[in-house]
Amino acid sequence: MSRSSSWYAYWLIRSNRFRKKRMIKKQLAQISFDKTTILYSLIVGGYVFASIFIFNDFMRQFQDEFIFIEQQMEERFWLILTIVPIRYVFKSFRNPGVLITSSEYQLGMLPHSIKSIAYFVVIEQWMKQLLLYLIIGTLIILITPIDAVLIWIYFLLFWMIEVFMTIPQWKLFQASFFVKVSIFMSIIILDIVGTLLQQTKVISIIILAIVMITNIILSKKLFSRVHWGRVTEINDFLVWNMPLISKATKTKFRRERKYNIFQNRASRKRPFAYTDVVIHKRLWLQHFRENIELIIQVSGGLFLAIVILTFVNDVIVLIGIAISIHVYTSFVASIFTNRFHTGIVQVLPWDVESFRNTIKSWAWIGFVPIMIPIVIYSIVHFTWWSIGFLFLILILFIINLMVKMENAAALLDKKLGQLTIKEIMAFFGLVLIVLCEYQPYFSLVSIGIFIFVLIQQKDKKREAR
Amino acid sequence: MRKLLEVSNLNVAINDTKLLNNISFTLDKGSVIALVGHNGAGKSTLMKTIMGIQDKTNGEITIDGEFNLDTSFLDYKKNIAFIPEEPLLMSELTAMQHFQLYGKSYQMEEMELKKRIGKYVEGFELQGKLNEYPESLSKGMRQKVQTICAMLPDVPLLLIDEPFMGLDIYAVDYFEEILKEKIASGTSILLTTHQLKRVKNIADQFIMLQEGKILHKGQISEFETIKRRSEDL
Repeated sequence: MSRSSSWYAYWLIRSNRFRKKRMIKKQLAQISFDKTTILYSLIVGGYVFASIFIFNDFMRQFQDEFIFIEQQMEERFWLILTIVPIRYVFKSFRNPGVLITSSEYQLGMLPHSIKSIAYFVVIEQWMKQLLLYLIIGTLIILITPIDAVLIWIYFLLFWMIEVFMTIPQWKLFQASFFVKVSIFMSIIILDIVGTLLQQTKVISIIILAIVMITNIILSKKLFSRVHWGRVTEINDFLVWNMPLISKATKTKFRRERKYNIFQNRASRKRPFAYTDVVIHKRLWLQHFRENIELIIQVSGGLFLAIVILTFVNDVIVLIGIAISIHVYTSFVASIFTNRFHTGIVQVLPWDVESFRNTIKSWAWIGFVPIMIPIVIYSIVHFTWWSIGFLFLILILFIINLMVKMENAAALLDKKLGQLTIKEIMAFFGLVLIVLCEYQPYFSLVSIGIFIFVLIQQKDKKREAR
Repeated sequence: MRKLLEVSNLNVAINDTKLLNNISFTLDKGSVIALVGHNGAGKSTLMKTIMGIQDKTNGEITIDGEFNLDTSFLDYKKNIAFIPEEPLLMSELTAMQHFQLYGKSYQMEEMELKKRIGKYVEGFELQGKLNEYPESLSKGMRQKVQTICAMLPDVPLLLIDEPFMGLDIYAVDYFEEILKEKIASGTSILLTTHQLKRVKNIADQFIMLQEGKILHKGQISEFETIKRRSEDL
């Protein structure tokens, strides 16, 4: 089949996909807004834009910040250059980087070469990315006083890395988990060494050289050992997962996961020991795997937030810790609830209490990344009260988790959650964390909360009997 | 006969679109109702709503007079087993692990579970496939696994969305046999079908849905007359 007819077939799919998505978005817009609302929104939006960027000379107020950013861009050019490729290695864990969905793949079953289709996909992606960078670059130049040449150099660089990392990301996606982890860790270690030795320029040249050589070597084996099932599975999800539409229509496009890195292990195929703990463990692991991006984002985000806030000031970091506990426990409760609304579990009877017990240890594991900077912070500011402070953090984590899981369990039973004394205590207890900055004696309240939690647990056990 | 499932004034809507409109019916203990209707008539939506997967706008659903979907949902769920039209199997679990998950969820004793698994696996000719993941099974085999899952527990209500979809002729006969056993032991069944001939031997009544409303309902023997009359109109 000639290239032009393959291009025509590919274009037919692309244009129809575009039309279908546009139609869905149009329907969403029609049910969400009417003409009057759109008109008013446009007027308000225009007014806000004009008042900020035109009449107020908003940008001039941030002149110093822009100068700082420009300086950093100049000074850390080589460091940034070494960091950007890491993003593609990280993405290769979940994303092949070449958007071949099951539709494009089916063209390969017709008399079209899948290689030609893949080239069309890649070239289209590169062109779209270039256009996007041009638009963003132009906007930044128009809005900010940062040097235009510097911005174009950066965007050109980003685009070139995008181009040169396409093949490595594609091949890495097909590679085993351990290969990915090894490469990811190697680049990070290289970066840390370069930063410590102040040799980021040399390291970035080494990384770029490796990327180039990899491109040359791998370009000959682009389509060997490709796991098309996984490629199309993730790409179908990426193309058709439209969060806004899902929210509006209360329907969710779920990724049809058929592949699992642990599936080939013989031990995974053995029948379960017939206990809740063992069966639920597998269900939780499967659920965490489905939501791994979100889990990493939340845990990593809270970890980073606390780390960064420690450089601001003590009150702010304590507020950050309190918010982190609230956010993390709410997140655990939401992940818990979501388990019952996905896959086969939704059609089964739910032993909510048993599920609650089996998620506890995982909730603690997820809390470790948040505890690490808190412990380091306490060690740095060590007094004997730090022990009380850490105890308070743990107790508040326990009571907040307990309260939110109780609410989640009530919601699963379609019961309306009522605001209990426990809930009020748990939420306002978080304020104690901040008050510890002014008076460390506040950490003693943790003993009272601890006794309360113990009594609650005892009552619960008695009720269960 | 004692009523098992009571659905009254059930309405389901997404935004302004009404999917089910004022549906009311009862299903007696040990009897079978076949839901019929064209594609998009609301059969699967009704099933999902009874299962509690689809939110209802208003109306009441009760099992055995005491388990209400709104007020005792967790207990209500223990009374139902559901076979969806498309198997809902998890990629991470083998066939045997699915059976164990069902057994544990319905709080079955391990010995009894093993006995039933043995019986159904032999009947559906799935020997040697117990430690296989769903992707390694054909579509028909996946449907058999899903069917066995729902047959394992003793529940008062079975919901079956297209019972014979994807099953081979021997499996259909065997499944029919099991269903008759279940009915004889007092299980009530609500099923959707496009093949009314197939379920004529099992079903007692039918409900014909059209655009989310009940168009006709009655004894299964009356169905042909009503169908002919509807076609004449």
